[in-house]
Amino acid sequence: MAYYVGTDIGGTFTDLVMLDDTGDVTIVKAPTTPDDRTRGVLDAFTLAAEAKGLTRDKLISELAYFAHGTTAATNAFIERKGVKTGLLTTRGFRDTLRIQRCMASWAGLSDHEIAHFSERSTPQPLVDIDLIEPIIERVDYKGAVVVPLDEEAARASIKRLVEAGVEAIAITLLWSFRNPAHEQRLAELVREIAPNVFVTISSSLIPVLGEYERTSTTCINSYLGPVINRYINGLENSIRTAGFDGPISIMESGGGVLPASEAAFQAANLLTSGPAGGVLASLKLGEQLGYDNILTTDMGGTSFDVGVIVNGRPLLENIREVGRFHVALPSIKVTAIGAGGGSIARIHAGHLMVGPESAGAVPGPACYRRGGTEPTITDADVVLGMIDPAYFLGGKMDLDIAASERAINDHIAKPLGLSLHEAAAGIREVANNQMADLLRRVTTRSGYDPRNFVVFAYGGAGPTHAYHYSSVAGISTVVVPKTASGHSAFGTVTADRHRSFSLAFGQHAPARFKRASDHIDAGKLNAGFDQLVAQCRKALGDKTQIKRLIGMRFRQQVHQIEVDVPSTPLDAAAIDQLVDSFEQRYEQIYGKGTALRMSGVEFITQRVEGLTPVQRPDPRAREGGGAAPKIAGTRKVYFYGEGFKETPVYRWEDLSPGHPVKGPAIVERPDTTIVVGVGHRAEIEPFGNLLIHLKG
Amino acid sequence: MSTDTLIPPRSAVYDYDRVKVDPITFQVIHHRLTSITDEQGATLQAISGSPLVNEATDFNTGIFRAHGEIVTMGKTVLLHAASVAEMVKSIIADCAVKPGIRAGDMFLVNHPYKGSLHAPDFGLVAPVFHGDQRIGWIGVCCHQLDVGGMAPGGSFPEATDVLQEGMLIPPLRIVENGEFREDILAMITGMSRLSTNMSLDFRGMMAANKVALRRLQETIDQYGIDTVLSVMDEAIDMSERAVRERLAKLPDGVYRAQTFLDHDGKENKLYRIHVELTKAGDEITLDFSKSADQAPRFMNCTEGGLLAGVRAAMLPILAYDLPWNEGVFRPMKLVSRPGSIVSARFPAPVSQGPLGAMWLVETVATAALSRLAATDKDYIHEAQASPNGGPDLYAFFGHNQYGEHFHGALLDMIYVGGGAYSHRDGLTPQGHRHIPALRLQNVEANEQIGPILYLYRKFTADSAGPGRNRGGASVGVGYVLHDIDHMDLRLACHCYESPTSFGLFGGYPSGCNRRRFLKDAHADEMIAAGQLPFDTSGIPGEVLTLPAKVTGSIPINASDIYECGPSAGAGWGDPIERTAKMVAEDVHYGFVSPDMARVIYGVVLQDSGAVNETETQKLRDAMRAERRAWPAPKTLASKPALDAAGDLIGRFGDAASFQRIKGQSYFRCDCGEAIAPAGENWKDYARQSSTSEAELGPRITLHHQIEAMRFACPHCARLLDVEIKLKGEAPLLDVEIKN
Repeated sequence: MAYYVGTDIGGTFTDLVMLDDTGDVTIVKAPTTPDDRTRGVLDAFTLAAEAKGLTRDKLISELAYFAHGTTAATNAFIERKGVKTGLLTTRGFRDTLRIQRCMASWAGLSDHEIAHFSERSTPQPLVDIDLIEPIIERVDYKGAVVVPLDEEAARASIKRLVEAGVEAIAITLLWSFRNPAHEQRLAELVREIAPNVFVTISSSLIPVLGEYERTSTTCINSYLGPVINRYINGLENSIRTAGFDGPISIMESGGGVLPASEAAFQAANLLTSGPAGGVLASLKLGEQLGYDNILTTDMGGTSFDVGVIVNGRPLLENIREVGRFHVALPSIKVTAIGAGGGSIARIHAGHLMVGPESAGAVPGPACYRRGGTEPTITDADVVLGMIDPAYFLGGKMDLDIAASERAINDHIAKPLGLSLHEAAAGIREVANNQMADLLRRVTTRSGYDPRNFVVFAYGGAGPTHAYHYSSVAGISTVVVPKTASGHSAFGTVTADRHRSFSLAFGQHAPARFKRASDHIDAGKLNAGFDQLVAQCRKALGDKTQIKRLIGMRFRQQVHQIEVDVPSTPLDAAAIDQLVDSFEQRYEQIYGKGTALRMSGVEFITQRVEGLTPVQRPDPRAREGGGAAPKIAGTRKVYFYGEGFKETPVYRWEDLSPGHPVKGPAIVERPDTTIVVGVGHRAEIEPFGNLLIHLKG
Repeated sequence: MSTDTLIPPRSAVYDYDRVKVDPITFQVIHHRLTSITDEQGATLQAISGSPLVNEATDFNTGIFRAHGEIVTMGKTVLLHAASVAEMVKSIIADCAVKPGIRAGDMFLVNHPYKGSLHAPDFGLVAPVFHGDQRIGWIGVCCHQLDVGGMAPGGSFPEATDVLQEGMLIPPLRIVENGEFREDILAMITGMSRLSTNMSLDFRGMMAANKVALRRLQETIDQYGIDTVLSVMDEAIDMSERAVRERLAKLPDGVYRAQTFLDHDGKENKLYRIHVELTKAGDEITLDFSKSADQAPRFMNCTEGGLLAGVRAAMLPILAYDLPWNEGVFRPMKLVSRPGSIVSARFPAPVSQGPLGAMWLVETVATAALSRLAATDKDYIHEAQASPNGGPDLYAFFGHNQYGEHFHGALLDMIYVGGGAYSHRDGLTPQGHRHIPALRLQNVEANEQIGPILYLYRKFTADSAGPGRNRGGASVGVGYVLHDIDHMDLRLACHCYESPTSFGLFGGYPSGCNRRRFLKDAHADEMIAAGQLPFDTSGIPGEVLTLPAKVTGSIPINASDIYECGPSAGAGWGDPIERTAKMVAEDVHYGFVSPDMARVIYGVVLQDSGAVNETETQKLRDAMRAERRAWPAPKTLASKPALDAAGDLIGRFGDAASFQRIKGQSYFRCDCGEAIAPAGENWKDYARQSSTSEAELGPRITLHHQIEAMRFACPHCARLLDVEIKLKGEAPLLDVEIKN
């Protein structure tokens, strides 16, 4: 038997999802071991082996593929445990990283934090000012050298950094994406002077316009690179020692997995790989179930994360905030608000606010018996009967319902003059509506209608709330994946190998142009794509599926939109067609009549994406027609606006295809509780995932 | 703007009885309304090409009730908190009868005497109907790069009236049945030198309004009209109640602030901007009557501009944690004198108003509100020293390297430091105070589209106002032309010879706006030789002396170098109370020069940059001794002992307080020294000294009519205030707490 394993390390648990040749899926969770996270991964292997009646060694010897998602980059970044990093940058622009395009005091903050001026601060710089060395050189917007590189001075700069003990160096020079010669030469000098220092140069990691974003991304990459290097080496050693000699992949944020050997060089790309893994898992599951427009919703303890999949492709973003800084690598767009099980409900100036403050895991919700006294969403779920306090984590954690009641009574019900249950239902109602507002926002802002999507609900709290936030947003169908509590791990084992390469193009058709092809150099455009395709094939092999894209905007605009580019060489007609495609997509997003071709069109960034499917079995379908599900019990569950309903409770494992469950109903699993709303209908489909039909 | 003209025909407005909405439904609907406003802003930003909209977020969006009361507003430029609301009032007044206000209409306004702050600010406003009755408005306001007029850019010292400052669109029904009147649109955009940009912005504004109209209608369909309107009105009432509660806890009194705007565009005269804030019970009145008469040139603001400046000051101080809506402003009354610089009479020119008089309205209102907040230890947290004194507006005009018209919106002057607080330094950088979240262009983005080459973009030493907590530092830039021979440079600022960013409770003003124009510096030859003047201090060439505001433009050619280093945030508290270690760090990071560290902070550094503790202690002792030797006009005849017990009346920041000691009220330093009777101006009893430019820092210039006075405690020598005042005038009585 061959086994295919994906693991994902979260803050509390290390999840493992295993497929075998027959398509059988095994999901296990082991506690995360922060001192040495590799141990938690091996523990998870042990649990998976036990589930199959094997020893761990036996399992690993039959392992065909191992993919891993890690928060190592994120943790090192948040805890500021990256390596001492130096920066080489064009003289005169030493402060770029601290100025942060004036976003230093608000990037990464929520709206209400931004409005509280007196509490704002600027982040501790990633690179100390003493470790930023100005380099005498200058290139202009054409890529022409204005001031030649002063190599002598540069050598002295590099030596100073090495003497100061840097483990990594980031190199970002102005206009290097137009002419990378100076950056490349500096990298050579670093290798010559200090061959062991980890180097990132902006023109190869992220060759696009914008020196701040390039500097920030390059510094983050250097800051994390050696950490990831050590981490991956440790992991690889352990798993190799245990007898595995197959390929190892690492989840990244852009849409797939990387070979482990490349992960360190893409360290900045690992920062949001966890959420990306969940989106990719949904994409793969969607392919199986026949859904290609999906809203992925991951509700955990502190946040509610939403991804969007349109026509089988995840929506990406070019720049994202990471902590208080920015990473400008194309990545799967995941939008979050502070609404999770631990989000605190408070009354402020008469308003009932839920989140964004979270009680986290400690003290956690009041019912966790860890000292929390403020009411959270989980407390509301417990009070209303949505969650059985005796069956939380399969009964491993005994919840204190009295503490939940006290917290809600004292902080919400009494001040608002509501009954306990009205208040608890109110907390859910407010939170679920905020989540529905987010579902609407992420779709309409991209030009789509949420009603044309299905919602995938995962994370510990997602399935408990999904029926409601989805129906408020006008959705018809919710899918609770079988892998709901280990969805990112499922994403790592099913995701394709993926790479993305970009190139700044930077030509435009001027105002009042007649034909774009008169102004855009087709030869240069084709050569650019050829180069990117070659890079992509080199990284992923000849069989990789190539997608060509170009980012365009109307002249003078700030935001670009990507459109697909045909794979045949572009001629004049094809270039003109790109403008039409851009205009159509533009009006789809912003409305008819908003396009303004006469202002001119800029062709900004060329990008090529490659996807190479990783070989692994498809999960197996089950036969329908098992026994009708037995009811594990009934309990009173309070629904907002409906009051108490006597509600049947099912165990997930008792459900089988072909036997729908009528709402209201509760379906319990050790890792999550699924609520089926009044008038809704749920069923297990043949692959073992739960569908909730919200429109009867 | 008298109120009776604002009431439209009764039948047009939907009349309803407020219903009780349960707190859950209330919150759900209120969140929906807020998210609609955000979506409106996102739509505009996506479509607009303008860096002003996208980077400087110089726009605002909102939902309004039937008469223009703000229900929600975006957290973008705070000054526009008043714009759309005031435009709505003008639309009702001017258009209700003819041409009428109907569903599907949208009105365009940029008239500065009809709600706009100045001609570049265009609003597009749509009525919201229930049946045939109006229930509210949806609106967007955003700044345009060019609005025609006598010169590019929309702001010119030459103009003597508002009619010369660009096109003036009174409320104009430009959208009918949901579609632009394309002929009128073409006429209007045709009056701009940058008609394409304007067209993009107008399309973005229309799309933003349509999104909001649709989403609001869906919300009404779902919950019912009366429920939604009740939520709107209740949300306004809730913010009002919260602000009133907050005010009620603070002591009644009078809080004053003033500053002086230099150069009116024609002459280098000074104009006083003065506010007297009276706090009584749960209300505040801001009286600007003592401000100067209106100026002949462009830095006046209208009454609407005054309102905008005051509201921008209020929001972060009084409503930092509340929904921003009409209710925040209800406890505030505004008094001004028509014909004054902060309440100009038509047709006075106002194009520089938002960066001129209105800016300083925000500055003095912020200072007066901060003095009020600083009376209470639980509220001092929100008090802040002045933000930067005003931007140095400069723009390059001509053709870019592609032969296209170039308008020069580089916005580098906005990378400024913020004002200091009692508990922290000002932000470095913060950007303009009234823009909560701005984002500015990369050097590469500007060089891509403009014919310029940056020499540097870096923090400017000594720009930040000194204090126990330092102001935030500003970013300075240097440019040369590139791939083009010649452009025109237009320049206008204030805070050039008058430090308008002043500190609080002993904090110093920040540096003034500084520029350096190096003529015939052979920059082009240096570049041709592969050298770039990174450091311009040793470059030969003629340094041009420039006034604060240049009439017309000055030519700049490829041989010249232009540098700008703007004003920054002001300081809080006595600078010699800043720890020497922090000052050494400031020097290390380039925020403070070693000279300033010594002269103002009293910190002596070793060559290594480390603090010389002994010399620092000696120097600081000497500075205190010198202050004790300053004269004081009056002395308290008999004063209570230093340790006499007193009852607090109100705090004077974290430096002193008003106290009652044995039946007498005093202004008392925290060292225990009773300095003055509470009924008089405490400054008359403080040690004081007129302070030279050099003693204020290397980036301060004082206009010949201005002096800077420092006031210190006679006993402990702590600086209690640094005041910028007119020579020959009595010092300002800044805090007067009622017993």
